[in-house]
Order: sequence, then C-alpha cells, then structure tokens
Amino acid sequence: MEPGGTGKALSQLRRGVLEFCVLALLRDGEGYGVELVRKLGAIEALATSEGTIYPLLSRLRRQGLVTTVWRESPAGPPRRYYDLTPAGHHALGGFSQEWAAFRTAVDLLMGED
Amino acid sequence: MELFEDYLRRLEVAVRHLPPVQRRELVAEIRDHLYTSLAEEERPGPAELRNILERVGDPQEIAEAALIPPATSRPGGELEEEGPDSDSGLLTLSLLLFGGFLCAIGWLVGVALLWSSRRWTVAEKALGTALVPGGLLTPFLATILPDRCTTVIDAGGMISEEQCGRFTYIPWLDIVAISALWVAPILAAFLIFWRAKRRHGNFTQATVS
Repeated sequence: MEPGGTGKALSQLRRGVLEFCVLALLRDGEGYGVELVRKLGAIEALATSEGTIYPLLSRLRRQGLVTTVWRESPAGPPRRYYDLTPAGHHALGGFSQEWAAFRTAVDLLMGED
Repeated sequence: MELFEDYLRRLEVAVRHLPPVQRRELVAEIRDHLYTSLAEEERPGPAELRNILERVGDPQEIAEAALIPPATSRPGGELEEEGPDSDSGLLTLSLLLFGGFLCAIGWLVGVALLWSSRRWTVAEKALGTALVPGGLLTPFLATILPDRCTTVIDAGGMISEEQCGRFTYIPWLDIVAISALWVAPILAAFLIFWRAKRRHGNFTQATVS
C-alpha cells in the first residue's frame, strides 16, 4: 500500500456510505433539510461539510429515493422537508443488511492480533 | 450579507461545469441554507456568519460532491444524468452533418437529439441548428444544382451576355457562398464538439479521487 493509502480508502468508504446515512436519518419520518445537513455535518467521523450533502440530496431525489415538500413555518420562510419513498426504504433496507455483514467481517479481522 | 454573496459567487464558479439545471438548483439551495441558518441564530453577527460558512464547507468540495457517481444506481455503478454520454454526442453531430442525406429526416433527428441533450449550452445548440439547416446536404444540393442563368439584353435588343451562378450572378461571390455553406456546418460541429469535450473532460478528472 502506498503512503496515504489508508486515507484514500477511508474517504472512498465514507463517500460510498454517506448517501445511506442520509437515508437512514429519514427512516423514521420526514426531516427538515437544514437540520439534516447540520446533523450529518456535525459527525466528525463522516468528515463531510454541510454543503456537500445538498448535491447528494438532489441526486437521491432524482433517483426517486427521497421526495421533498415545502411546509409553512410559524416563524420564518417555508421550510423544505425530505422523506423516504418506498424505493428509498427498500434501498436502505438492502444496504443495512449488507453493511451488517460487512461490518462484522471487518471488525473480526481488525480484532485479530 | 456581503460575506454570503461572496461565498455564493465562489460557489457559482466552482460548479460552473455542472449541467445548468443542477447548477442553479444547488446554488439556490445553498443560498437558502445560508440565510435560513442566519435567521435561526439567536444573536446574528459576523462571527455567526463565518461559523455558518465554515460548516457549509469549501465550494470546491461541494462541486466535487455533485460529481460523484451514485452508489445507489444500477449495478455497475453507471453514471446517471451527471455523466455525459459520449456516444450520443458523436451520433448527434453526425446526424446533424450527414443526416440530411437520409431523406432529410436524419437531420431533424439530429436536431431533436441536440436540443434534448444536456451536453451542450443553448448557444451551442442554436449554433448547431442554424449552421446549417440541413447539414451538409444543403451545400451538397447547392453544388450539384445547375447554375441559374439570366440573359442580359442591351438597349438595342441584342443579347449581350449570359450571366450564370448558383445564388448570385457574380462568380466569385457564388464560390464564396458555396464554400461557406460547406465549411460552416463542419466548423460548427467541430466547435460544439470540442467545447463540450473540454467541459466534460473535467467531469472524469474530478471523479478520480
């Protein structure tokens, strides 16, 4: 492995998993856009800024995995809310299972000294 | 907020290679986010402005995030609308140039493909359509059509000369016109192909991590 190899692998891993993290946040119901990106941006381990999540949300929308609605807000301009579509739930479910198996396997290997 | 507007200007530059609809949407969303976040601050001030911008992140990173192929796409991870389809680009341009020879319908199909594709800007699409309608069929017809001639009769009723030409009766102007008709569609096709290639070349570079 070349120097900096782990950095690259990690960033690719993060990238691959991030959209499922977004879907997961919406598993239990709709989420307010600004709050969504704030939550994800605040997680150190994800190493992602709030701005980078918007293109991701756009793409998920175009792929039909999430929908958005605008709702009136009592104090301020209308707010954008995101929600999973059935396809989104399906994709999330599929990933969940794969991830569990993957995580278990890697943990096991990492744990061996 | 000048600070926000500055940032948004930098963002516009960073995302200029995105398809227009996506580009506009993204900038609008970030703008919305910035001002909404500010409105939600209890005590808005210069420090809050900077904090908000810092959390939103570097415009370049945002631009790159917009180019990453989706993990949730079809198997094989094909690029969706972000990715240009290089095959149909060539096909479209070929139809524009030579489609006229396929009973003119080929050119019309080329025009339809041209306008429906996200690969080119509106200006490029207009150029491709206007230069030249009918593609290379038009100069071809112009070349094989016989000259139109007119006879010039002088005051005495005698035929003094016959003047012939395709478009005009001035020979050199005629040659220039027909050459232009040949050259224009080829030039236009190359121009829009090259510009799109240069633009979309950045897509493939940016997706390599």
